[in-house]
Amino acid sequence: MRRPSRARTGLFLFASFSSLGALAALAAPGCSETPDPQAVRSLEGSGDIAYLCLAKPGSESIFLPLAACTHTTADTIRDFGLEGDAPHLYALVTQGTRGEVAMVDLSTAVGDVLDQDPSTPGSNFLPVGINPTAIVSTPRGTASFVSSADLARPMIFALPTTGLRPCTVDDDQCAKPAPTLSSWPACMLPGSPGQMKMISDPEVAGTVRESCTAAYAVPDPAVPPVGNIDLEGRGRQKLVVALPSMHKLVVIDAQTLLETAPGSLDPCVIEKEILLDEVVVPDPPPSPMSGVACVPPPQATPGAIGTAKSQPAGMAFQDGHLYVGDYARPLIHVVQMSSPCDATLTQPFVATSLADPARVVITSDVAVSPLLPSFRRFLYAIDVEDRSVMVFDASDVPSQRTPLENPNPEWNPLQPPDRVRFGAAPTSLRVVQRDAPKSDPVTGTAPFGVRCDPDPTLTTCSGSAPCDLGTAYRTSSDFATGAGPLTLRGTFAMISLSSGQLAMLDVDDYDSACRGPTAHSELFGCGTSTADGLITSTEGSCNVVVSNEPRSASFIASNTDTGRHLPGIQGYPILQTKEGDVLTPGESGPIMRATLPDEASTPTLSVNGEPTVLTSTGLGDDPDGPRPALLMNLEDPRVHIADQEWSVTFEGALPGFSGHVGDLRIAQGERSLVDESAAFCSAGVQSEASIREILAAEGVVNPELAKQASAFADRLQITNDLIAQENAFWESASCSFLECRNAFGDGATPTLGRDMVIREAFDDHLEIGDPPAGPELTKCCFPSVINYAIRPGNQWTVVGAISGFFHHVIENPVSHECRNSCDAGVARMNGRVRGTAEQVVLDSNPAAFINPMFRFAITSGGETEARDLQFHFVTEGAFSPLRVPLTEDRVRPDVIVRSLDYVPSIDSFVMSDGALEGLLVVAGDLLGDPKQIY
Amino acid sequence: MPRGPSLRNILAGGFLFACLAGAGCLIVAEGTTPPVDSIYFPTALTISPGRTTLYVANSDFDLQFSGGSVQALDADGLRQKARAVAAAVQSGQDASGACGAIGVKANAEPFLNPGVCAPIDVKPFIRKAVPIGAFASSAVVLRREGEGARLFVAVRGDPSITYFDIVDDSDPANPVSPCGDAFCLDCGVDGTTNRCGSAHLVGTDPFSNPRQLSLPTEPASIDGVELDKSSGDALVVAHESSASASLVVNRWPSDESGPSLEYVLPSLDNGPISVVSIPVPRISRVTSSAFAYRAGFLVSHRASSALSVLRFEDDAVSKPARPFLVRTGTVANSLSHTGTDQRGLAIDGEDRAKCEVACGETDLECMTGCVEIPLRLYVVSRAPSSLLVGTIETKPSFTGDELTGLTERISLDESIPLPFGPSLVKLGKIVDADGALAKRVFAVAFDSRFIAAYNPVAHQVDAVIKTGRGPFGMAFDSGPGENGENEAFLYVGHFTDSYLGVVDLDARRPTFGTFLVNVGPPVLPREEQ
Repeated sequence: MRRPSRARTGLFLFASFSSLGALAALAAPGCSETPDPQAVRSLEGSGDIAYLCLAKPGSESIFLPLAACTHTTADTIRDFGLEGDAPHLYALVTQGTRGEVAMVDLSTAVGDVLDQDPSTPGSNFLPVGINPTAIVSTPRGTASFVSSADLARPMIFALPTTGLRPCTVDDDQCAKPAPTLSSWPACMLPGSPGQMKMISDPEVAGTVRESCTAAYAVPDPAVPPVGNIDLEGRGRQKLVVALPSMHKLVVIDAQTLLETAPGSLDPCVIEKEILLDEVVVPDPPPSPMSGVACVPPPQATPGAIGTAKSQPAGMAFQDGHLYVGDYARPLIHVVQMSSPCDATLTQPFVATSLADPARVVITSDVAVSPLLPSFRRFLYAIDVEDRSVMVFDASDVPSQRTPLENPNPEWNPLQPPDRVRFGAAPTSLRVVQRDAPKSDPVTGTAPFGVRCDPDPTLTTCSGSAPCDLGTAYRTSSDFATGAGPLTLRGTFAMISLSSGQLAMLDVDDYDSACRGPTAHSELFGCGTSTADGLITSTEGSCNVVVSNEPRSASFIASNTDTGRHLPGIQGYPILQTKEGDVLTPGESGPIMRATLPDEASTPTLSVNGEPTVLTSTGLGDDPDGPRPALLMNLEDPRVHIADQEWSVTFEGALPGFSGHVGDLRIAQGERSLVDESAAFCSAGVQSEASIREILAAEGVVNPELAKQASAFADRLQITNDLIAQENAFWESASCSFLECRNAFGDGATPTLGRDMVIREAFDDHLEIGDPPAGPELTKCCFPSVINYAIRPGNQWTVVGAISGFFHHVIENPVSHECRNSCDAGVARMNGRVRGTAEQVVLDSNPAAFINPMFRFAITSGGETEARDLQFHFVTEGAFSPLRVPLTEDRVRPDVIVRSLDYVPSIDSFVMSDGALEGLLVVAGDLLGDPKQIY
Repeated sequence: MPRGPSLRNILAGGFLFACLAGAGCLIVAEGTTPPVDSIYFPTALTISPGRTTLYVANSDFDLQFSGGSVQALDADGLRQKARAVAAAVQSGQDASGACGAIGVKANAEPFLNPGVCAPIDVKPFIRKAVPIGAFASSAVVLRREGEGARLFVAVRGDPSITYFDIVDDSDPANPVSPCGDAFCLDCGVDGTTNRCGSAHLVGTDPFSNPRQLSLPTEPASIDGVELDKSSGDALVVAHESSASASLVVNRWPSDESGPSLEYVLPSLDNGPISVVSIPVPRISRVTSSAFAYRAGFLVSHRASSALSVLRFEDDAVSKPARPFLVRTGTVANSLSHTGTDQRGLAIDGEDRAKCEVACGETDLECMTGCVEIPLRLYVVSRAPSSLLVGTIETKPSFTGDELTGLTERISLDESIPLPFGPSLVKLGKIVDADGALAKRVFAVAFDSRFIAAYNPVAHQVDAVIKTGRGPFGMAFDSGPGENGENEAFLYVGHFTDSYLGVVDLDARRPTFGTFLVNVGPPVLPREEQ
């Protein structure tokens, strides 16, 4: 028996660095390759997991609560400590492919899969029928129950724990035959089962009722061979089973099933049915968003809840309420279940989507937090088709029944306002509470749940003197200990992703107050707070830790201890021509400058990791003279999704049309381009009609209005090469090659004759102005479908190498033209900059440009710029969400988590994996390699 | 009785593949004539619309013969055998008694070749058979009302798309037969070589098409869609080794021209391995020619996690029209860490089709409503072994009140773990506990010998079928049985041991998910004999 080593060789999060060593070894001469021994895999199609904590066979009390199984690691499956008092934690894992349940000893160093019949070749498990879907165990492990979705015979099997451990662990079993399907008490369900929960019918003054209709009585002290669950002292345990095909939940008494004759095919005794047929009257749609020169996005219609019948999916139980996801209806059902016998449906949560209100949102897994100190409780649900997680207010008195919305959606419009996306599909959810409490120097106690406090007036803890314990959790000066991204104290939502990672949402981080800047500012997203002198982590935003937002993997700061994680730029922007010649900005040409909150402000920009105070005109203060500059947005660091190169290009082509072909229809008075796969609105095309409305809203009137609208409207540019001069086409064409080349140039040196003003834009086609060279010649020179580009007129386009081109153009839901959205949440989704003559540009100036990441303006040089003139810069300090990689290139190239659990007693996450078909165990502090069991 | 395939020859086949991938190889149909009365490394299975005929393409994978074959099997005869065994088991007879009902003994090799009974001989069920080139990989049936039906087989050895005029049994009571028989496999057989005529080997003659194209090597998968008669039907072929897709346009006899290779789209992601057509919305067929919708195809790749979206351009504006394909986009796969080995594809458009059928000929409003019913997309991936479930949403585009086009948004949403080594996915039906036909998505895991049945309503795999070695092709046979009640069977082609299996898909019976009949007999590869 040995105690587990908690010393780690390095952060597992950065384990990939270790592969460098392996690479070096491979590259070195003389290394010989030793084949890896291949372990034989015994688990197949691992799915749901239940846990048992069991004492040494023969002990007086075999069944123990899970809390009794702690970190103690045994050497072998028979090692129960010198005193025989070290219980083992077992995982019962459904094996979908084989219709079995495997028993895995999690207390041994490697995690042993127990063979139920060593005399038979191969790994032999507990047979439980075809397609086991769920497994649960009683609180102290008297028995476990497995649902089997056999289409012909849907069943629940009861596995009494007595005798479950094989002969290799329990000598008493050696004389007994290996279990078969008919070894288990079982009953037949009326329909195919889905998920299952074990929920207690509470005891009343030490009495329980044997069925929902029976009278309360003192539990029978007799213990039948299969065990007496009532004696666990947690009330009468009930199985709540989802029957998706019957659109309901049923309640079955666990002890009654346990005492059923083995091999029985009798119908299960259903004590209660909960038909998930709530009639939901949807909230009336909110008032349409309004604004000038914009259109409101489409709104949900009352019929969007749909008429499908419920298909219960994942379930979560907390504080007397069962929450049930639904694969068919956009509801999270809420069953009031202080006792399963008295279960009643209450008002459900409605899964909506602000971005796509007409979509019927279906949910798979759900999880719920405990009631937090803020008296709030949060419910999490996976939106299957959006591959995102919704958060609901499940407090005792919920504020709303639809997904909670980000209070500042404009700060991060890259995330939908009412859900969290991860770049991969969530597969499972769990809410986790953990702490690493520090001792009070006076009392010696280590209370749980103490919050870090940045108040500079508090007494810090040092030595044995009395102090404010909240100061003990502050970030250390070298950022190595205390409040930080990897200090997980509080409540967190863990999400497994299809990319083979664990992601994390902060729910209630005890250290959140100590994560942020020392002085508050509106630029840092601190609202109206003006707090100063705080003892914090000196991070660059007040929103480093936000409830129900992804947790950062690093400090939002740039210094030698943390690395460069504060959003900034790697160097000042440079200006260059289309040919790549670098120009000196400002001398005669345009210059980029930061826009300012007010005329007195001189904000700071991180340049190459160094904080740099900008000049009063928003330029970089460089010894070589003023430099082009911009200002990074720090209200929500999550918006900085990548370190990337940005180009700000005069009349730069909108991305997304490369390779597209369109049907140019310019004969007989028609003026259009049709490309049904183009999604012109979604690509951000701005027509003359659209810009005219915007300019009019800014107060521009005719004739200037008409002139500017035409000047700023997007252009359709034909990008085809002409048909080769030697092609037989020209022999019969009504135009000549030279005629066409003079009018249109070639692909490399196009003339403006290829440009046509876009009068109006729709998602699948454009209405265009007259071709400059005339429709006949244009059609003759380009007789078939065309390749094309879209360029803005007299504006700069801002394009990120990764982010692409931001805009907030949508299709008018009524008339279908492309127009800006009135949604204030996407107001920063901008990608076009108009030049200005002003030398100081405030944020409020119409020429001020702001997108989700930064803000600036371009002071024009006084002349019309050449097309494709370009500013270049590279941003750094991208937000890195905390992700725990479960994959490893050679061992586990892919992981699909099917079931995710957190086992508090061993402070570990236990997952079943559909790719490996076994189990993964990850330490709760996320350090170290996952333990792999198969 | 053919000699069993040898592993050495299988390896030789691998060399031939490599040879085919290079330039200058010539495949000559010399050597032993392939046996057409036995199953031999079956790859593609497909059943006729009226369930009268099961078509089997045999690949001659070990090159023991000078080619493979296509066979037309009497599906009704196979069903009779399967029904007899199922009924006998259900009536309480043991395996020995049940198998006696079809004249064989109980299965003596249940581990190697799972099933209730010992295998029966395939010969009595083969009604037509024709030799073709080696390495047939995939097959599809197209039909057009008033024209007939055709079976197209992608053949690697020629390489060609070999097509057959077959019986159109959509109305089984009034089948349309091009040969006058109940079973046809007409491919203009040359009397001297006993092989299909060159006109039926699309892609072998570069002078038979406007662009003077030859079919690229390694046609791995084919699918097609019936389109407007003026444009012809579009068939797209994925070519594994040349990272390309080719377009074959099928024109019917009334057009006085047959199928022809029209275009080769190069520069796809590496390893195109499977192709599926996106069901064409009915409204696009009844609106004006200016209506903006192009028939689409999805292609999966062995060396890319993304799917390619290809669109068919009929080029009607040109005279003569020279149809072509355009790659209009990709479907990103964020459902796995690697995900670079996607295999089979399937699209479920049944719900939309049911809706469209109920619309009147000119009821555009009804048809517009139908396109808002999403299509479901299924992809099997080997890295990791999983079924990817996606959605194809079709969005109408309007100019004012006028519907002017349709756009499609395609996404992959959910990943369902599968047993190791999935290779193919197809849509089928089972008979559920209530006797109704219920949709399932069947994924074959070649390596681990399983077929998983995914219930798209419950979002879970609810049946796993253990097969013999090398399950590959699947065909589904569901509908009203002899007594009018629904019945459902699955035909499985076992590649490794060269036989077919018939699986019971009636969940009311104890035989659900088991092989009622094995048709062969199984033949071990020669090195194992």
